[in-house]
Amino acid sequence: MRRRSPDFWSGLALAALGGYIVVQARGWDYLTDDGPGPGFFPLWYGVGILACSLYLVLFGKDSPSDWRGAGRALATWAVLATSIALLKWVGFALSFAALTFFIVAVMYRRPPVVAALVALGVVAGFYAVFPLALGVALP
Amino acid sequence: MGLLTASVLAQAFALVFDPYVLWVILASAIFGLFVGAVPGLTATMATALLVPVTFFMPPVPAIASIVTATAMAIFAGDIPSCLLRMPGTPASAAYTDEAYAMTKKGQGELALGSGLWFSILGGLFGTAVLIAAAPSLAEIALKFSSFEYFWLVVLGLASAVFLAIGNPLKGVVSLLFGLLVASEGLDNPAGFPRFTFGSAELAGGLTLIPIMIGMFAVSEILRSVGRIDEPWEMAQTKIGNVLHGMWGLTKRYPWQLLRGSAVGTAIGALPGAGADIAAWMSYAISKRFSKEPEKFGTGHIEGIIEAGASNNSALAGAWIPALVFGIPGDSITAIVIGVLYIKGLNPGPTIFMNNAPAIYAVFMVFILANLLMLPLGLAAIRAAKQMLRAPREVLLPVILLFCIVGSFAINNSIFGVALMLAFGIVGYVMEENGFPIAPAILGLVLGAMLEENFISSMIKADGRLLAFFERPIAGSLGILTIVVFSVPLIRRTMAVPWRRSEK
Repeated sequence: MRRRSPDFWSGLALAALGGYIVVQARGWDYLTDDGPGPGFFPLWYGVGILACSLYLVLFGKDSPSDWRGAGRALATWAVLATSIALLKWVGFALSFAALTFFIVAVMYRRPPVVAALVALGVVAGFYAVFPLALGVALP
Repeated sequence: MGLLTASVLAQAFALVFDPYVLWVILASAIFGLFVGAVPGLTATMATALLVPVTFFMPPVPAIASIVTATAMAIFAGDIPSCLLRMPGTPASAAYTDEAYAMTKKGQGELALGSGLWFSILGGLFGTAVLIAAAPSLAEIALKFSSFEYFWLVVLGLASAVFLAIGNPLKGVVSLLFGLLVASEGLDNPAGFPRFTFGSAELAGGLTLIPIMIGMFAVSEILRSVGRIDEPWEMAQTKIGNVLHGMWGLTKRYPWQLLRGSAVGTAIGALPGAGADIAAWMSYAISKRFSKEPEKFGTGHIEGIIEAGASNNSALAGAWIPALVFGIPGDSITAIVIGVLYIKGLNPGPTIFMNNAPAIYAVFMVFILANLLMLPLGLAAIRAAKQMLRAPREVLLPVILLFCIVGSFAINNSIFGVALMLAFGIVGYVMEENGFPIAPAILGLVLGAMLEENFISSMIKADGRLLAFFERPIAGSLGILTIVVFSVPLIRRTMAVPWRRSEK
């Protein structure tokens, strides 16, 4: 099967977004007695995105992809999302110590003891600066 | 207007030369130098990271911290350019190869010194233009109606797309995405809920600062994590008196300095185009008009002088539309506008009437920051090797936690953190696929202004589109906007037959 360019996939994703916007905006008033309605601008934004996405799908250029780097970035984002989701249950200290530990130990491949010390130091530093020194609540 | 009386100046002086403000300026200068010198951390990221800290400061030190940190960061971006062949910030990318080639030729001191010296001169030039132009422009802007504001916004959006580095089509997509996000919520002229999915938090509209922290800072961290394997190899160079010979260079290249500063200020003042685009344009202009163009790329100082002055002058230039119209000149001022609103310094022409001492205090900070760059810049150059050895595995989590605290602190709500998270991945995916972020941010900031001014104008004109051209300034801005949109299309149409005949 022929390998598709990243622009092709970007174009497809944008086409889906543009299509959704157009469908939504068509359900709202385009023009009212007082002038353009709530659907006026979103409709044109959606049409613009659809047109550009079509160009990207048809004429998009290929470009080199760093899948390894992208994998690492996405893994970090996923762990960040998990630690934010866990905030409510385990609190700032534990969830962000775990996040820091992950970045240092897994992404940077440092020894677990070093990662644990960095995690502890970073979280303690944030407690010292924000709640203690500035009187600011942490999430 | 003007309102520059002795009393205003005295008040502004007292606001700046307060020990607390001076301490903030010094601390943010050191912070800016560090962020600028570390590749992967940008001046915009420095601004985003400062946001949570500025919440707890009075208006002048809050803005002073951003002005100082960004000025220092743009200069400091030159240091790894010379030593690592990696720009510390995108604003130094235009002449990174040139600066590194100079270091390899044994002229590292000269490259570092001219980066510092001409950044200061360019920054002072931009500041002088800001001080002279902003109050006068504000006086004119007082007469603006919704027609003029509509065209100003469209002109700003157009220049953001056509000046963006890379594919203009992707710039358009990015802009439309930003406008679309701005249209979300109840905050539109009709008060109609759009894209709220029944959520009360979404109905309130999306807060700008967490989105910007996500798109500028979180996305940058994700990119840095993706590039962990890239090694940093430092070029060896002696660092002594880096200012030696700077006066001679100033006398030898006065036009390059003036042209770089003027182009930088003008590009900075164009919405969406910041210090990086100013530096690229100035470097290209320098080569085009040089008597020795063949020396460019081999370690020649001329382009570094012109582009180095240009990127620092662009910083002050970007504040002109931001203060006078509330239209950001670059991504830094896009964040600054949010901070100005939080601090009650609402941007717009009346800012010079309602908050004259604070605004003149900000102008003084610009001057002070550029002067302070000399001693602190020299110290940063001397400490460069130590700064570049800062452990990235510690820096990254610290920055990430700053982003989280900053996004949370806006409304003390986890919703801000969720926004930061979502737009962080959006920003990463966009940049990795060649979609510039700046147009999206501009669309986000200007979306509501575009819609409000268009609808007000349509109501005033009773639906007549010609009314958009009937007032002299509105008409001129309208024609200018059409020209800005048409030029790339005409150039493309004319370029095709030429390329065919060349084949």
